[in-house]
This record gives sequence, C-alpha cells and structure tokens, in this order.
Amino acid sequence: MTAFVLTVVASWGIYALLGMGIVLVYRTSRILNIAGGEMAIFIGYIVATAIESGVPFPIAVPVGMGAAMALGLAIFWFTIRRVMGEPPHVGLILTVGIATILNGFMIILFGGGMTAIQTDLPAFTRIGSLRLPTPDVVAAFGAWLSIAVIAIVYRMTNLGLQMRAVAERVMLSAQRGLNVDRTVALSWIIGVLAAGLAGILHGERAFVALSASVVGISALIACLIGGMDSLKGVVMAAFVVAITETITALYIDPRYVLIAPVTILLVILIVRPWGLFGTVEEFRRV
Amino acid sequence: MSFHVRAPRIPSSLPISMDRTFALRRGRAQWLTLALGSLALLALPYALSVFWIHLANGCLIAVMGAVALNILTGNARLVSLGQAAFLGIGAFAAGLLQRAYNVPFPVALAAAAAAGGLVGLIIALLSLRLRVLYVAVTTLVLHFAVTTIFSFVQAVFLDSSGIILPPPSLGLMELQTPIQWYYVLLVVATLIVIGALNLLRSFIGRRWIAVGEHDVAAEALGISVKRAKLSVFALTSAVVAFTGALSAYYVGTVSFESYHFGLAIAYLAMIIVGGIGSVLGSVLGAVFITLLPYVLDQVFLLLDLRIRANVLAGIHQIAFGSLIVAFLLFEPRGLAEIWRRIRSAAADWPFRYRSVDRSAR
Amino acid sequence: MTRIWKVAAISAALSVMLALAAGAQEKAHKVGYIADLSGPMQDNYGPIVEGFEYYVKELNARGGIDGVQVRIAVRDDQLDATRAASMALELATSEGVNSIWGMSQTRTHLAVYQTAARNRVPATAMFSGIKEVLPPNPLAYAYSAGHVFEVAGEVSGKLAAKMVNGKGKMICNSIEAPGGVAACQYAEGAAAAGGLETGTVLFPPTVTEFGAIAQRMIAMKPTIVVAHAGSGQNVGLIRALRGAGFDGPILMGSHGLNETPLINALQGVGTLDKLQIVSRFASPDSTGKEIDAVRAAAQKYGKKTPITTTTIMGWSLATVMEAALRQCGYPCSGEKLNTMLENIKVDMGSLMGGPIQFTPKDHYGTTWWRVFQYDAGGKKFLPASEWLEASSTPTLRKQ
Repeated sequence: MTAFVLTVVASWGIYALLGMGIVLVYRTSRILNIAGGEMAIFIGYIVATAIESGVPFPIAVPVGMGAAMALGLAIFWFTIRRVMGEPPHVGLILTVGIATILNGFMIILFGGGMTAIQTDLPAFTRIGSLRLPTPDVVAAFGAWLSIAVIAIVYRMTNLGLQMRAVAERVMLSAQRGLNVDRTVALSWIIGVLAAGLAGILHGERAFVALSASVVGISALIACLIGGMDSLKGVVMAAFVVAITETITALYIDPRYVLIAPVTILLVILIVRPWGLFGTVEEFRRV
Repeated sequence: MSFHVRAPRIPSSLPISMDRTFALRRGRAQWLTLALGSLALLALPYALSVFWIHLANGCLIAVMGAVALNILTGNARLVSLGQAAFLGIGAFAAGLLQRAYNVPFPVALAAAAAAGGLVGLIIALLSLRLRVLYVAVTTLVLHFAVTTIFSFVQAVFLDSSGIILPPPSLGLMELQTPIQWYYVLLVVATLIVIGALNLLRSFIGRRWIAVGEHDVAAEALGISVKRAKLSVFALTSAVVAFTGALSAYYVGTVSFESYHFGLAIAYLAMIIVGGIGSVLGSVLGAVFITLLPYVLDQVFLLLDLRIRANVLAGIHQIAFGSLIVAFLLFEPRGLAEIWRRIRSAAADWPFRYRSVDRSAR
Repeated sequence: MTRIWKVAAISAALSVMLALAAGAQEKAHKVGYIADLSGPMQDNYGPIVEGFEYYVKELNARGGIDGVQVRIAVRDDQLDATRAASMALELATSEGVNSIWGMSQTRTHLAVYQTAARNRVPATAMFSGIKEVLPPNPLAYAYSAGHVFEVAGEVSGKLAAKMVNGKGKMICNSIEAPGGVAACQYAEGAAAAGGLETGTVLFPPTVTEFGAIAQRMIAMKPTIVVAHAGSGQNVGLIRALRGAGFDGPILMGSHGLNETPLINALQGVGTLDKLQIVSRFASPDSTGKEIDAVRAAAQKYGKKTPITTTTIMGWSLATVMEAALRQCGYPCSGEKLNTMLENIKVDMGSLMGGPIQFTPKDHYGTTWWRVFQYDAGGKKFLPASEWLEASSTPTLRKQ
C-alpha cells in the first residue's frame, strides 16, 4: 500500500512540476509548450552525463538547473520575443520546431541512448518500519519541494506579482510601467527550469532516453484537463492523471495505461474545453 | 474547367482588366513555361538514376499530402497535427482490405479515402466549437490514439511485422518499377494540384478561406461555418488517407511504426517552409523537405567535413527544426513568397519595382 | 583551325579520363551495409558495423577472397523504415552491391527485404529478426543471423525454467508490439512445458514510469522475470523491480544488446545482481581463438575500449559473408550469391554455440543460445548455462 502511495505521489509531483512549467509560460506568453518533454529530457541528459563523468549528484543538479535557465533565456531571446502577440497556433508550431531542434542536439551531444541518473544514496530508505525505494523518495521530495518554491515565488514575491499581472492584463501592466518583455523572459526561464527539474527527477527515478520525452505528453494532458492557464488546475489534474495511470497499471492492465488519461481529456475537450479550472472562454456559437 | 470570376465591365479609360487577376493562366509566356515544364517532368526519369527516380516518387507523394494539409491548416486555418494518423489510416484501410479480401487496387484506394474522410468528419465534429489551439490538441490526441490502435491491431490480430502489399495492377499493367510508378504518381499529383488550385478559387474554397480568416465574420456574412469546417476536414483527410494508401502500395509494406509524430512534423515543415496557404508553396515545400536529408548527406560528403558518422541524424533534426522556426519567424509565406519576389524582380528588371504589385495571388 | 585543335584536345582529355575511370574500377566484391549509425540506437548498431568492418579489413589484409578485395558501402537508416528502403535501393542500384547486410531494428526489415527482393539482392539481418525468414515459406532473398522474436521467446522460456530448476513462476514482460507479444507467448508456453507457472505483463511502448507496473508484477509473485522490452525501458523496469523488492533473477530474453550502456545506467542501486542475458553469441569475456581474433583486430584498427557482444555479432556476420562470397567466386551477382546463401553452413567456432545454416526452406536455421549472468566482482558477463539448441519452428506457443 505504501509503495502504491509513494508511486502516485512521485508521479503526481513530476507531472505537476512539468505541467506548471508549461502553464507558467502559457499564462504570460499564450504559447502552449509542446516541447516540454524534450526540454525535460535534455536537462536530464546533461545531469546524467555530468554524473557519469564523475561530478557528484549535489553539484550536477544545480548545473542542470543553470543549464535549464540558460536554455529558457535562449529560447525566449531567439524565438519567443519575436512571436509575442501572434495567434496561439503560431507559438504551438514554433514549439514543435524547438522540440525537433532539441531532439537533434540530444542525438548529437548524448547519442540518444539510454542512461539514468544515479544518486549514490542507498537503495532503500527506512522510515519507521517501512522500506521504501530511494529513487521514488527523492523524486517525490524533490518534485514537491520545487512546486512549493515555485508557488511561493508566484504568490508572494514581486516577481510573481508581475508575472500574474502580465498574465491577466498585458496592456494595463505595460501602461503601469512593467517591463513586459523582461517578465515574459523570466517566466520562460522559470518555466524551462521547472521542466528541467522534472526531467532530472524523472531520470533519477526511471531512465533518460530519447523515448522518455513522452513524459511531456502526460504533463500536457494534465495541463489541458486542468486548464492551460491555471496553476492550481494543473496540480489537481496531474493528480487525476497520476492516479488513473497507476490504478490502470496495477489493477486493470498496464496495456491501457495511456488510454485512461487520454479518454478523460477527450471528454473534457467535448464538454468543457477550457479545462476544469481554466478561464472560461466564450463558447463559439458557430 | 477553370472558374473565372466574370468581373463587371470596366470603362476603357482604365488600362487595367480585372479578368487577369483571377485567371489561372495568364498570357503566352506562362503557357510556354508550362509546356516546357511538363516536357521536363515527363522526360525526367531518363536523366536520373533509379535512386533519384525513387526520391522523385517520394516528392510526388509528399506533394499530394502537403497540398491537402495546406488547404486545411493554411487556408482554413485548422492546425492539424494528425497528418501521420491520417496517412496511417489510409494505409491500414487499404492494407487490411487487401490482405483479407484481395481487393483490386482502385477499390483499396477508394476505401482508404472513405476511411480518412470519415475520421476527418468525426474529428471536425468534435472540434467544431473549439478554438484553433484546441483543434490542434485534438489532432494530437488523434495521433496518439490512432497509432496505439494500429500497434494493438498489428500485434494482436495480425501477429506480424507488417502487412505486405503485392504490386498493384492498373488494368493490364502491374506497377513494379520506380519508373512506372513515377508516371502514375505524376498524373495523380498533377490532378490533385490542379484540383486544389481550382477548389480554392471556387465558392467552396473561398468559403473555407473566409472561415479561416475570421470565422465570426464569415458566419455574419451568411456562410455556414459548421459546414465549411466539416467539409474541409473531411475532404482533405480523404486526400491524405488516399495518399497514405498509395504510398503504402509504393513501398510495399504497412507497419504502425512508420506513422510516427516525426512524419506529421515533416509535413508541417513542408507547408511552413513552402508557404502557408498557397498550392505552389505546398509543392515547393514538399520537394524541399523530402530532398533535404539526402542533399545534406551529399553536402557533408562533398565537404568531407570528417564529422563522426553518428551525428548525421541529429543534424537532420536540427536542420528541420531550424527551418520551421526560421520560416515561421522571418518568412511565413515561405519559399513561394521568395519565388514570387525573384519572379517579379526578374519581370521588372531593369527597374527595381513597379508601382502596382502584380505578383500577389 | 584552332577550333579543331580545341575539339581534339577536349575529346582526347575526356577519353583519357574515361579510360582512367574504367581502369580505376578495381576488381572487388561490393557489399552493402545498412544500420542505424546516427539515430536513437546508434550505441547498439554502431559496434555491430565496427565488428563487420574489422573482419573485412583483416580479410583484405590477408589478400581478400582468392585475391579479390571486399568493399563495404555503409548507409545510415536512422531507424526509419522508409529511409532504410531508400538506402537499400541506392545500394542495390547506384552502388551496385551484390548483397545487403546488417539492417537495424525490425521495423525496417520488411521494407528492406521487399526492396532487396525486387532488385534481386539478398539481405541478411543481424540482431533482431522477423518471422518471415522462418520455415516453411521464407521470403525470397531474406535471411537473418540474429534474434527472431518467436524463437528467442521460446528459448527464453526454456532457459528460464532451467535457471530456476523447474520450480516456481515466470513472469514475462514486453511492449505491446508484434515481436514482443509473440516472444512472451512462446516464452510462457516453453516455461509451462518446463514445469513453471507463468504470466505476462504487457505495456505500451510509451510508458516511462515503471513503479506501478513493477508492483503489479511483484503481486503476481514471480520467481524469475523474463524481460522482452526495449532498451531504455529495460533500465526503468529493472530499477523499478529492484526498488519494489524483487530480488530474483531477471533474464533479458531477446537481446544481443550492447551491454555497456545498460551496465552504466544500472550502477549504484544494487540492480546488477542476478542480471542475465540470453544470447546466440559469446560474451566478450569468453575465451576462444575467434574471440581473441576479434579483440586483436579491434586493438589494431583503433578501438581502445573493450569489445562488446555487438562487436562479436558484426564479426560473425562478416564470417558468413566471406563464406558465401568464397562459394560464389568472382564476379558474384546478387542472384548467384542468393543461391549460395540458400545452401550454406558456416562453422562459427567459439563465437556462437553452433554453425549458421540456411536452406531454401529455412532462412534462419537451427540456433544455439546460452544464458550469461553478470558477475559484479569481475564486471563481466559469464556463462550460466550450456548452449541450448533451438529449432527454427518454435511450437510451444501459449494459446
């Protein structure tokens, strides 16, 4: 039973973290980041390669985080800032292009093969009478810590206030003197950082390979179910996705693991396309 | 054959005739280019090696799929990430029928088109009221659903690595060699291109374009947006499925792994690089993207850059993605626009420009 | 006058060049090789090509086959079936090869086999193979010297039963793709025939998180787990299984994988104990004259890192190629080589458990397989069973 709970909590955390990264950038720049999975695994590869070269885990992770922030800034600088204000599908196709580029770099820099992130911690953690696998514990702990930090930054700091302002009313914020470009850039930096952290934790818990970028699809499904512009929504929806996946794998049949969340998404798209907690958009009468 | 708009008589004091704006072919110069171009295309196989004829066939197939996608995504502005799914639907429909009932070639193709049209209709119904972004997401979900179903079907019911398709027979002839396929594909692709050009200029096509530009305004003008979206999705998906089936017969096998998301990205790249919304763009983009990996290989061979052999796939991907991003950012009207600029510069030479832009289409 | 001299000069130059070109066409056997050199599985297929190339270099250094050198044209298919078919066409037509060797993952095989057959050039796959090469009606011009899922599945079931002495339960897992499903069906049948209880867990190819799946497998109480999943997923699966408390042996059923990345990825969490591989090929830590030759060639031609099972696979494939070309003589066309391949028997020595043998009705042949277990102390894969003979018509499928 505890193993089940731990698995759900860890998966929930990783999907929520990656999902928050996607939602954060959608809120400020109205671009749905399809490349979230690729970004996550890219950073995962960087950390895995660092560790294989002998860098200890506690140093490799901040290196990965720094790389993620640099990646977010680079993506913003070269592409996002030129398409702000365009209709949303332009941004979507743009992120598809970015995903392909990242894929190419992963093949060139890391070979695209399989690897994992090792922590050098003992294989099992004992808490009281429970014997839990350490990778899951680390993943769950790391994910929820990151989510908490991001939530605090978003709710309680000036930067968070600025990001929320730009997300709600761009024109008004600009008129009030907010540097919109800088705020959007920072939201992309934090967004890609969140994705990168999710990738690191996923690699620490499962594996890193080109095929692992499908973790972005699960997070995307969570974003869409919860509402693309709602942070609270994506955390709730990530729970839905994680628990349906785990229950399907454990009690029904692992063959249908992706079908359950996808079905829920289809229902949402038909009934309430803007998601459970998303901003209600006008229902087209056409 | 062509749908001319009969413009009202304009007083003869003006040197401009509106007729020519909508005409498909303008003037003797274009007829000459058309004739020479057709001759070149027909004679092409005799100048190329078998491998390059095979690549030309790949281009022709890509042209068919790209033209259809461009109408859906470029003109009607319904972004579709499900191109690979529809290609697969056509291929599997044809393949399963062939394997089970050994149907003749045209029947298999027709069934593929019908299957594609049906699924396209369903997707359109689902996404009628959705904003563009959600339509794209719906097609993404379609892609995953369809590929999972194919994998399941192939593993559980077919128990094989794929369906093998025998060479199709057209009347008395069996399509075996790349050269035979070339001429057949050339005819089909030409028909599809001409059909697309005319369709876009017809009342159906103009409604699609109107809905793509601004659906609320179109509804206000009396166009049934619902019917427009349903028809464009159904028709283009039918064409894409048809292309998938044709391509499956050409390669000779059907297997679910061929219909991966990278294929959908490749077609998106074709219409973005070629030029969103124009048939010429689809053709240019399709040829460009299909030949790109092979041209890159030749370039690296020529430059003898001593790169490790294992970076080539990565370079292909980076080239792809960069092309999408670059054209999206800097030249959304794509290669077609670049071509138009070159053409009008050549027409206006030695002048830098003329005051009336005659090159817009 | 000058014009005539110019024309004459140009014609002369052209004819000289043509003559040189014609003369420069040396006498050589030209063979083709397709593999995933730069795509996602380059870690696996790269060393196979290397092994193949080492063998050919040594062969040419010895003077070739009866004085005729062997030239390889290598093409990269990036794990894409359409591209693989195009490369096969290019090799058969522009390059004029008389055979295609290697090939990458099974998804490319049908397309390459089709193209090869249409151009009458035999194609022989190494590592993973599809059942279309099995009797009674194999595809023309299609051969395999690697792991065909159905046969490998049955063998893995039999060997799993042996490894636990016929007592207990075997759980087979695989991705839900044609080869994997068949492999597990045969594995279950064979294990049941060996006295074990059995079960199968399938999952879609897109799964990346194995915690719940591992827990499900453990709830089925296995004594031994046979894994037929793909490479990246194996890493996740093995870690999850150990993390969820499974301490028994894990047998990787249909792999001749490059074990180096796998071992690197599994460090540190106690996951390498009782890790076993079923393979047709000797592990690089085995002894034998042929394996020493592989090592020597690798050292000589510039690879300072230790050889892997995949290097041995490439070398073995080239051994078959030499035998076929030798029987064929020079010049050797595709059709003639195909006839030779259809009646070949090549002794593999210490590289494999028995000879590679093709007949007109059987393009796969009887095969020999062995379990290798990882020894953490010596950091090598050591044999843990004898060579088990397997026929190319597996029969023990679970219904």
